[in-house]
Amino acid sequence: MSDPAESAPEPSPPPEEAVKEGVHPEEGETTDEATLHEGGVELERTIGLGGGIAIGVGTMIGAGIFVFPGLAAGEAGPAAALSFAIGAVIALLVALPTAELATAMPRSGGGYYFVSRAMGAAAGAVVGLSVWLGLVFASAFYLVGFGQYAVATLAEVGISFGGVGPVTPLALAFGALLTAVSITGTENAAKFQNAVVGLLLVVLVGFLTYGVFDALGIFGRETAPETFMPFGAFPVVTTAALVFTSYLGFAQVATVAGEIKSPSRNLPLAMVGSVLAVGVLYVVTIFVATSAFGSERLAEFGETAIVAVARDLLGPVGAVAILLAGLLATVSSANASILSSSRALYALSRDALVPRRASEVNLRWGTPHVALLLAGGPVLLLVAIGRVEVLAEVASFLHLVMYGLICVALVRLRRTNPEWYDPSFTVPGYPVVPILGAIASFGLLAFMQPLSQVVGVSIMIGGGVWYRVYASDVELRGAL
Amino acid sequence: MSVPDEPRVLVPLAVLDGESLAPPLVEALSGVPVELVGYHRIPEQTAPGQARMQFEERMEGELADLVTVFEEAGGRVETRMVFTHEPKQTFERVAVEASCDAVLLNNPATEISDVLVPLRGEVNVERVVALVASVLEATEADATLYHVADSEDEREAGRDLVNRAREALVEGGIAEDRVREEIVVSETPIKTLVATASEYDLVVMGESKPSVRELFFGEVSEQVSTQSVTPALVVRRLPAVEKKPDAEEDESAAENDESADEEATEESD
Repeated sequence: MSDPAESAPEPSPPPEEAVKEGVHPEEGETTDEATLHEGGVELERTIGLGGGIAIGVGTMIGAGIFVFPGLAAGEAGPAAALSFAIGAVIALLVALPTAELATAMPRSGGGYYFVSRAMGAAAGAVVGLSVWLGLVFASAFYLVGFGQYAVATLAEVGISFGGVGPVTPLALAFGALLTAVSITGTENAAKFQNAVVGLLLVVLVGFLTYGVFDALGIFGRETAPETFMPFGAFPVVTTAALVFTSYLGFAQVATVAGEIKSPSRNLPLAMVGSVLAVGVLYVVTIFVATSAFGSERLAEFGETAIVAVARDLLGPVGAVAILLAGLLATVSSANASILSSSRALYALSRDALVPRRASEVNLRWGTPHVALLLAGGPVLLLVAIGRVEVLAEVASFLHLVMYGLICVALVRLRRTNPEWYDPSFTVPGYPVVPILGAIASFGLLAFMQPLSQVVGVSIMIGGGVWYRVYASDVELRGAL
Repeated sequence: MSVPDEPRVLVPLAVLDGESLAPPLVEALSGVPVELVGYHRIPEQTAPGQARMQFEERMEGELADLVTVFEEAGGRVETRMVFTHEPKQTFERVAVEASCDAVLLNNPATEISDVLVPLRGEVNVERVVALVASVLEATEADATLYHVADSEDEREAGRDLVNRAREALVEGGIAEDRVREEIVVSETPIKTLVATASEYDLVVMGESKPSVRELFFGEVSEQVSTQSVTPALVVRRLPAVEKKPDAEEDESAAENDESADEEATEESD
C-alpha cells in the first residue's frame, strides 16, 4: 500500500489564519520560478511560454492535419471544415475555464487535479483513470497514424508492400522505441519537440498559404466544386465528435502546470493560444484539401490524404515534405501523450488513489519507469487492434467527460468560493462560457459511434469500481 | 579600496548523485555564511514533485549530515532542497533570492594551502578580495594574486590591479607574507590560466558576465575549474548595481537594501 503519511487525511487548517490568499493550502506556495514547500523543498519551474505552446500544439497537430482530413471529408464532405470549427469552439469553451483553474491551482495533474479538488476523490479517481487511459488511446491512435506515414514514406522511396503494408508492425516498433527512450531518459527531448513544432508550423503555413491561393483560383486552376454539406447536417456533428481528438492537447499543458514558469501569465496564453493556432490550421487544411480533390476522392486516400493534396499542389517535393512532416507530427503527438499519461498516473498516486509504486522514480535514469510502462504497454496493445476511428473516439470520449467536469468544477468553485481560490485569470463571460462548455462537451458524447461509447463508459465504470475497492477511504488534501 | 561586508557563498551539491564536499573546502568556507543547495536534476519525463515524493527524505538526511560537518568546523549554513529539470536556472534563482555573492564550482581537494586569485579587470575586485580574505582567515593557506596580460604593454596595468588587491588584503589584516603576486604574458590566456590553476588547491575569481547561468554555460571560470579539476569560488557580478570608482560605501549600502527588500518580499508572499 502507499505511504500512510500520504493517504492519511491531514487535519484541515483553520480556515481563517493558515490559508494565504491565492495559495492552495497544503500544496506549497507558488512563485513565478518555483513551487515552495515546507521544510525548504523547492520545485523549479522550467517550462516557458514557448515550451507550453509546443506541448499544446505538438500534441494536437499530429491528428488534425495528418490523419483526419481524408476520414472527415469522407463523412461530412467539405463541411468537415465546419466540423473542425465546431471542435475548436468547444475546445475554446473548455480551454478558458481550464486556464482559470490552472492559474488558481498551478500543480501537476491538470484536469484530474481540478476535478478532484472541486468534486471529491470519487469523481477525481474516475477522471484521473479515464485521462490515463484516454491518453493511452490517443497515443495508440497517433502511432497508427505514424505507421500509415511510415508505409507511405517507404512507398515513396520505392519500397512497396502492396495492400496496406506493415502499418501495425511499424507502429508497434515505434511505440516500443518511444517508451524505451522515455524510460532510459532522453536529454533535450523538450528542445527537440519545440524545434519539431516550429518546423511543422513553418512547413504547414507555407503549404496552406499556397493551397489557399490555389483554391481561390489565383493560379488559374480548376478546383473541385461541390455541395458544402453533401450528406446533410448530422454527419457534420458526428464528424466533429470524431475529430475532437485533434483538440486534446491544451489539457496536456495543464498536466505540467506545476512546471510552467510565471504560470498566471503563461498557462492561459499557452492553452488558448495553442487551441486557436491549431483550430485555424485545421479549418484551412480541410478547405484546401477539399478544394483540391473533392471529398470523395480525398476519402479514398485515407489517413495520408494530405500527402496526395501536397503532391497535387506542389509535386513530389511537396509530397515528401508533408510525409516527413507527418512522421514528425505523429511521433511528437504520440510521445507527448505517453508522457502526459504517465503524469496523470503520478498525480493519482500522489493522492494515494493508485499505489504509490505506480509513480516510482528510479535513481539510475531518474524516470518514472512504472508509470511509463503503464502508459506505453497498453498503447502497444491498442495499436495491435489498430482501429483508428475507435481509438480516436474513445480518446475524445474520455477527455470530453473530463472537460465537462472541469467546467462543472469551475462553477462549483466559483459558487463555494474557498478562500484559497484566487485565479489570476478569470473566464470571460462567466457563467455562460463554462455552462456552454459543459453542455457541449457532454453533448458531443452522444454523437459518437456506439462502440466508442460502450468502451468509454466501461472504462469510467472500471474507474469507479477501482475507487470503491481500492481507494474509498482516501481523503484529499485541500479538497472542498 | 576597502573590504565590503562578508560575502555569502552558494554551494550547490547534487547529493543524491553522491557529490560531496571535501573537508578542506568546508574549512575554507567556515568564515563565510553558506547557502547550501541540495539539488537533484531530473529528466523531463519526471515531474519535480514526483522526484520529491521519493527522494526528499534521503536528501534531507544527506543535507543534515553536511550541516553537521559545517557546524563542527564553525561555519554558518542555511540549506534548501531543489528538484529541477535545469540546475543552472536553479542556481541563478537561488543566488539572487539568497543574495549570494559567490558560487562554488565543486571539485575534489585534499588540502587548501595555495589559493590562486586570477584578476582580470575592475569588476568585482572588492568582493573577490573580501572572499579571499575570508578564506585565508579560515585556513593556513597562502594566496597568489595573478594576472594574465595579453601583451608586454599591458603588464603594467596588470601590476597596478594586482597591487591594489594586495593592499586591500593587507589592510584587511592578512599577513603580507601570505600574499604573493604573479604577472604573466600569454596569447592564450585561458589555456595559461587552466595550466596554472591545476597547480593550486582553490581558485577564487570574478565572473565576467552578469549571470551565473552563463557562467555555468562555459564562462571562463567554469572552463578553468572543469579543465584544471580545481575547486573554484566564482564571485557573481550582481546585476543592477551601478559601479562608481569612489562610491564603495554607497554600493554596499545598496546591496544591503536589496537583500532587505528580498526578505521583505519573501515574508509578504
